[in-house]
Amino acid sequence: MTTRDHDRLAEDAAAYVLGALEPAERAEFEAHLADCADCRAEVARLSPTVAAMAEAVEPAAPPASLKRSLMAEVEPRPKPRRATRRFRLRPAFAAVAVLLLLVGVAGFGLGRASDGDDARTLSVRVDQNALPGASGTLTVLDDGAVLALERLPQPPRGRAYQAWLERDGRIVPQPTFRPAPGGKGSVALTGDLAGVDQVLLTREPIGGSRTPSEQPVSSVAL
Amino acid sequence: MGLPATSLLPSRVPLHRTASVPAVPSSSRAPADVTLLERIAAGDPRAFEALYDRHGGAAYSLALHITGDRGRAEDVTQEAFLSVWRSRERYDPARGAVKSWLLGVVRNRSIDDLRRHGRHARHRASDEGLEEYAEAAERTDAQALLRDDARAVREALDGLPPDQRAAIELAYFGGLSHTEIARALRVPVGTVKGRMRLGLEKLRGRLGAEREPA
Repeated sequence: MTTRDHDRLAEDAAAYVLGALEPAERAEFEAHLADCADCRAEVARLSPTVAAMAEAVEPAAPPASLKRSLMAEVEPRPKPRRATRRFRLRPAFAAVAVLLLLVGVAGFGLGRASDGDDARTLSVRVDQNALPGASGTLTVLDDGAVLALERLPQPPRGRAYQAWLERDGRIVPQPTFRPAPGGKGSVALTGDLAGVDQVLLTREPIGGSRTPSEQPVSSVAL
Repeated sequence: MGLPATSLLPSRVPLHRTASVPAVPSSSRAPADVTLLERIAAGDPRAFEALYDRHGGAAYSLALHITGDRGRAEDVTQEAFLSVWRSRERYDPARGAVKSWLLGVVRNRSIDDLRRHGRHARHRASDEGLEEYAEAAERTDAQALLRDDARAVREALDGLPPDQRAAIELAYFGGLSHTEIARALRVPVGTVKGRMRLGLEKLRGRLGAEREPA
């Protein structure tokens, strides 16, 4: 390991503790950590801050069923089985989603391809009544997408923005997020977007919902 | 990305919540987390229950924040705790607080779940109502303190320049690599790494400053 290697790898400590290195880079960094006390110290210095982030999410109460099923595993006895069901698109919700697509709102741009690389960037449609002045893009990656919005108003108290995927009429929940004070907000939609017809945005109780509780305030068709 | 996030915590964690606020012991005689892990390794279900009672809420909250889905958050939390029970995840005291380690396990499993289920999204109905958000019914003073601490971290995150905050959150909660973030935000990879460095540094400074002894 040369000094130059060290200088290059030392730059990666923050990305490493955030879990953001590519697998090959991570392997290289970990190999370097094994013989570099400085980098180990740097990782140790940054790790508690990342750990604090893990504890800083909005608190949500786990359902009692979770503890029951855990204890059932630990103290064997017949396990309750839970039903599986699919969510259906509510007619009213579908109608509004369609309406949002049909009614042009100032600032709308249709999807446009990005230049060259394999990421594809689409403009997001925003309900300007609900989110005046907001705009955004959806960048589609190989394995997921990032929805990034600007000038988003802060959601009402106790609420956060939540993204949704609509695939074949089914609405699939995605993570929630709250915009930064300046109104920038972004959320990663991870996974294959194949078959997804559109990405929607609503305001939901903190912690997120499993079905949208309001009309989408923003959407982007894929 | 399988991921180390908290895999190399220092043995001393000066900024960590659990360093200043004991992880919700219901009494001063509650066994330490490390003791619970030892008893769990010996197959004691009561120790496992105590560990869940103490950290299950934080684990589930993190899983829910990342997966955005209650059913999947339940699955992830269950998998994480069972992996602890079955000693598939080994705790090394040199790596920091038990809670940080446990949440690191939950974070990594949540990101795995995000990647796995993004492809074949499915949902499980929970028997529980959907509306029982946040705010656990029973609060202890320690939990209230933890919430205040969490609020301080959230405020520190909110106070970061948006680009730095986005880089940090997309990586840690979104499971995106720096190259994916660079493509999404249409900036060079070096810029993303720089934002992560600066952002984490600021976050660390702010949290540290609040915790300096008077």
